[in-house]
Parts: sequence; structure tokens; C-alpha cells
Amino acid sequence: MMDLLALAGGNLLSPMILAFVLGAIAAALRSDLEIPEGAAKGLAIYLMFAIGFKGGVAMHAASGWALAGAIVAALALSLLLPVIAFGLLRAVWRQDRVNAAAIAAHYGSISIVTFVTASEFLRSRDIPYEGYLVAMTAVMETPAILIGLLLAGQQTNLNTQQRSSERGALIREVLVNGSVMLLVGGFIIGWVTGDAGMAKVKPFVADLFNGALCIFLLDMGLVAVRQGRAAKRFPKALILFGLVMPPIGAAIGFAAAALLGLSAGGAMLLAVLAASASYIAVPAAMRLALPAASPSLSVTLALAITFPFNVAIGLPLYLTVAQRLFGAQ
Amino acid sequence: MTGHPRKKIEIIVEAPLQRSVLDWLSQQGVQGWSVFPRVIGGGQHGERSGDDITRAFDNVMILAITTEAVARQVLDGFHARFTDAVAIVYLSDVEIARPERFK
Repeated sequence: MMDLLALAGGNLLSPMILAFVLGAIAAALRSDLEIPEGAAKGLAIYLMFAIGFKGGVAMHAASGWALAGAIVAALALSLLLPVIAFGLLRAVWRQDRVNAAAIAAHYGSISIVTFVTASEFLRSRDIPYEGYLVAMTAVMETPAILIGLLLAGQQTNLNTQQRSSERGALIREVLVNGSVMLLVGGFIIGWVTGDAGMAKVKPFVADLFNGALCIFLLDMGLVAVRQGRAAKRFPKALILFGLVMPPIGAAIGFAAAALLGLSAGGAMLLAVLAASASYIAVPAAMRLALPAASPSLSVTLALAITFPFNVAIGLPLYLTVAQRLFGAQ
Repeated sequence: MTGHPRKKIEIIVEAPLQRSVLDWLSQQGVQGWSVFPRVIGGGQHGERSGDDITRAFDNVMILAITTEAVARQVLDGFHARFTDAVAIVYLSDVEIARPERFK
């Protein structure tokens, strides 16, 4: 227990988490601090490429079969998690099916920022993880969107011609979504070029990483508080869901990690992936898939409740559990 | 010199639907358009400040100049086609100098 508290304390005092807190405070005080959209997108591009690349470089220790197994597991998780989230939502919040389906899709996907923060959390403690976790991240980004569509039950009072345009855009989004391309592309480039490649880009990809993450998390803090404020009369049942679903997801992630035989670091990251919810890629896709759903509900949940929970409490908690179950480094 | 009358269609719509709306417009006979990629605003349902990382809360404005017939078709059909979308559509009268460019 003391270890967990020490870990949690150390995490909260890292520059990255404190930057998030700074953003939250600035927004709470109604400061006009703003990270311009272009800058935030640029940082996101950088973080995704860098984490993809680093994951690929770490692959030299892994086999192709391990990667294949990991990808299958990631796909299975991405299809299973939204179903569980949907079931839980329908149980505690009977309001409407479409919103439950949309929220479930967010929780079946992943938060790349949480993953990146978690990977830094591990790296700063010299805990290694399997490189193919990054590939799993890319795989888990988008299939949940399709599950969300299925769960909503597809009220078909619209003719098929109308929907085909949205469907085309959705399929493209699921398969060649920009974040996925960056992650997978960076991963492949890192894998192919290995340590020699890393030597060429290390100052950019490794040394700058934490600083960039600080600014990005600052923006997340700003946006989380502003989004939380904008969503009026938020149902208490949903707040509960936002806090309860991450540990449930993490537990399922640990189960998958056990099946894959991951190390403690890898298991912790898989738990993080399963526990996190998307608030960048999936909300935009949901506007196409389920326009009747309210994005302010799902984004506020994912961004203002689940994300802070995961980075502040989840990271030290999941690592402690992972080390207990999968053996300390 | 007298200008030629046409209708201007302006659509302020949520960014994720931009592609779908443009595709639909060309099906209605709209041949050219412009897009203002970042529109900030507010109204009864709150504000759109345009500084979010997810494009789900961004608005764009689509502008097209067409004949009256096409414009009416767009105005009449838009909300039925894009139910539940965050959007407003309106028409106004404009005069253009080169009628052959705006059929």
C-alpha cells in the first residue's frame, strides 16, 4: 500500500501531470490561455510518430508470431470492450440507447495520450515493455466505432443512399484514420531501421518527448475543464460509469495480457489501453456514425472524468497490480 | 452594367460532416463551392470555440452560388437529409458578372 502511495505521489509530481493540472487551473480561473489548434495537432502528430517509432525499434526483441498474437488480442479487446461498456451503461443509465452506444464506442477505443503518458511513466522507472504494444494501440483505435454502430441498433428511417456517403467516410476513417497511419507507419519505420534509425532521430524522438508531452497535457487540462464546464447537468450515473469502467477495462486488459504472456510493463500498458477512452478520433467519427448522439456527453466523460482518473490514479494502480501479477521487472 | 441574379447558399455545419455535405451538394447540382474551415460561434445550445483537439466540436462554413432552382432544392432538402446534424442553412440574393460560370 505504501508502495502504491509513493508511486502515485511520484506520478503526480511529474512535470507532465503537473502541466495537466496547470491547464486545468488556468481554465478554471477562466484564463485566455489557449494552445492553438494547429499547435495541438502538430504536437499530436509528433507524439504519435515518436511513440510508434520507439515501439518499432523495441521490436527487435520480439518475434513475428508474438506480434500476430498481440494484434489478434487487440482486435478482440476492441470488439469486446464496447459491448461491456454498453451493457454497464444500459444497466445504470436507462436513458437512451444511441448515447449509450456512442459512449461505448469511445471506451472500446483508446486514448493515445494516456498510452503515451503511461509509456513515459514506465520509461522513467526503467521498466521495459514489448514494442508491439504500439501496434496494439493502432489496432484498437477504430474497430469500436463499428461496434458502436451495431449496438445503436441502426434506426433505419433513412434511406440507404443517404447513408452510403457516411458509411464510405466511416470505413475510410476506420481503416486509414490519420492517427492509425502515423502509429503504424512510425512503428514499421522504427522496426525496419532499428537502433541505427533511432540513433539518427534520437534527439527529436526521445529527448524532446517529455517536453512536448507537457505542452500537450497542458492543453488537455485546459480542454478537460472547459469541456466539463460546457456540459451542463451531467447525469451522476454517467460520472459513476466514467470512474468504474476504467478499472473494469483494466481487469480485462490484464486477462488478455496473461493470455499473451506479457511482461509487467507490457501488461500495465495493455491495461491502460483497455481502461482508456478516446476523445480525439472517435468523437468526430461518431458525428458520422451516430449523429443523434450528443458528443458533449461522451467527450466530457472520456476527457474530463476518465482521462484524469487514469493518469492520476490509474497509472500507479495498474503498475502496482501488474507487478504483483506479472512479476516485478 | 447590370449583374445577373443568382442565389448564395451558406451552410454552417459541423466539421465532421463537411465531406458528406459537399458530396450531397454536388448531387443537387451545385457545381462550385468554397469552405471557410474554422467557424467560431454560439447560440442557444452553447458555444463553439474552435480550440478543441477533436474536430467533433468544430464548425465550417460552406458557400455556394447557384441558380434559384438548385438553391431552393438545397434549402428544402438539407435538414431532411442531415437530420440530427448541427447545421444552419440560408439563402440570399446576389448578383454575379459571369453567368456562364454559375449555371
